Amino acid sequence: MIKIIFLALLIQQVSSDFIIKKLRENTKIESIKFEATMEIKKGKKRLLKEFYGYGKGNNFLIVFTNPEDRDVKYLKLEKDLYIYLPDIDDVVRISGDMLKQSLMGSDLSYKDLMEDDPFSYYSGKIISDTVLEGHGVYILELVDTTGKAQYYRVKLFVDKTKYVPWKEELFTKSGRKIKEIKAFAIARFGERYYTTDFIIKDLRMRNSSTRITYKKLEFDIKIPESFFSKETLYK
Amino acid sequence: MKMAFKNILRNKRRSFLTALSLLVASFVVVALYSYVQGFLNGTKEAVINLETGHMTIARTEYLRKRVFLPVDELIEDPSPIIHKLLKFKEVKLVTPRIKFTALISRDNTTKPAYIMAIDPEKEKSTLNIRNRLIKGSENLESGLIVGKDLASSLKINPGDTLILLSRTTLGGLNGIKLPVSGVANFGMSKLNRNFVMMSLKHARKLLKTNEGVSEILVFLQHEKQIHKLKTRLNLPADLDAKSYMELLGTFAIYFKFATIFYGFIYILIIGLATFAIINTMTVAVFERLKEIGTLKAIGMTDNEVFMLFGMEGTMLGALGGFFGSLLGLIFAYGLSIKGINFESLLENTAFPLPYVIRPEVNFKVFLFAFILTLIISALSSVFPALYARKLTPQETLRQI
Repeated sequence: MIKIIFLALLIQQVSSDFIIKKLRENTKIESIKFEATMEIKKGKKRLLKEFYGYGKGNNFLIVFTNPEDRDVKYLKLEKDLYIYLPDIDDVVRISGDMLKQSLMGSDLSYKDLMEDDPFSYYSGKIISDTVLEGHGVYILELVDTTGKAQYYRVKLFVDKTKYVPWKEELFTKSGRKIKEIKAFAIARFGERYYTTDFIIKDLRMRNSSTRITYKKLEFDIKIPESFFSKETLYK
Repeated sequence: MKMAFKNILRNKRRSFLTALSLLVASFVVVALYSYVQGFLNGTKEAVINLETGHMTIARTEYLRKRVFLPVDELIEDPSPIIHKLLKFKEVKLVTPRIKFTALISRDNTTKPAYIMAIDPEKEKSTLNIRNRLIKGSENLESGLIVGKDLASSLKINPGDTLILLSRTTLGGLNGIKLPVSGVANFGMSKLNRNFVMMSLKHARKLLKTNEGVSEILVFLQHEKQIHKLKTRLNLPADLDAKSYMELLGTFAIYFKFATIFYGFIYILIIGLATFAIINTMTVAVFERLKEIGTLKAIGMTDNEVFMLFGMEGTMLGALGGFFGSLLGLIFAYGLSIKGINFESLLENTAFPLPYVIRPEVNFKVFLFAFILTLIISALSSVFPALYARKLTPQETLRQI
């Protein structure tokens, strides 16, 4: 009984709003430069994609470098996504419902890529705290209160000291778990903690997973505005 | 027989009404059968021609994931299999296809599309593209043919250029720019909404494959040969063959259910027609009690009365049955020329149901309905005729 009371007091020390605030601080980016790999597994098949990119405010540019996708570019300008196809030297705009399509056959949708501040849509409560694979975590259950979130309910396993989730479970309104994200590494960048290696599984697809590993990450650096224009894509 | 014939002519109005009810019954039997068969066969034919052939050969993994139309499970060298298939005398046509999903874009609008890449020469008889065209040409060598609803949502016309964006067989992303050759009505809402047809040549360039195809469709002389041929194919270990019914999934269940359901409705209609004939014939006898009494009073024997009424019923059955069945056949033929268009009802359905149903004109049904009406009217004349046979002149005159 004493243990339960002690645990309850401990949980109450931090509120869910505080954790959400800390989560948003960690994910909110002024500017970013990165190099990464994306490993897509479909059953026995494995694809490895390499890319680098820049982000500033709500915009980003990603350039693929692996041989199969060399010079394919993704440009996000506010709510629109533009894809540059080097073979035809032309651009396709993806918007609206099309953003629900899979990104290059991965477990990510274009919409997953487009979220600027995903935790801003949610409010919720701390269910409990526990130890997840050696990391002390708060278990948070968040529900979309704005009607704008891509996933109605989210269950987060947030690191108690770094305020970055080690695990995320994403649910539909009907309660069906559709995606699961698991972090393998979290690194510190100044005051910020950021997930540098994670795997996402779309549970609607059998034997499918996508692992993204950042090889280089730089935050709050100077990036020219001209990087984020349609004209840049043709260069 | 002569007297029975005279009797029919003597009371023209009564004979006409009796024959008319028999005519309506046999007409309904023929017309309904033609419609139901037209619907079932039309749906089956559309699925076979547009989707599966009588049989589809593909990689086992592709067939397992066929609903996602994977582009990384292609048959890399289809030629040896095609040559082998053409040696079977049951095989009428073998044609390779690549099916995949893509994003199709014009200006700032992008839509998802279901792409079918074909060999335009080989597919002339299966897809009948020329008759499906609304605008433009059927030239797939230089461009695309787009379903009419998709064309309308992208506001495109022949001559406009589209960008197709797809995953390649190597897992990369690629695009191709092609002009629109034509806009077509594929006769099914599912296809008109998101269907784009292109040549194998262009699809291979987009998907970055040399000779790859996702499916080899086999069209047979007769549907009944599917099972026999499947057992003799001896395909490589990584390939499999599936009949169109095996590939239809949920729709196969619907199709089987529809066959049973319409069969049941048909039996019900035949039952109702039979009841109508029996009723008409019985009423015809009871209306003529006075006549029976008089005939017996002037010396006609019981057997002669029985024969007379039986013969009259059969003759009326033959007359009504023949003309009713003939009218049913003419009606079905008339409707089959242009077909019955259900486009406004079906344009939002996801099932691959054809918009236009052409009733099937079948001479066997004409014979069936005619003989059925003849037999039923003959049999249904027996009971009233037996009743008439038993009556004495006094009894009949008392009942008037």
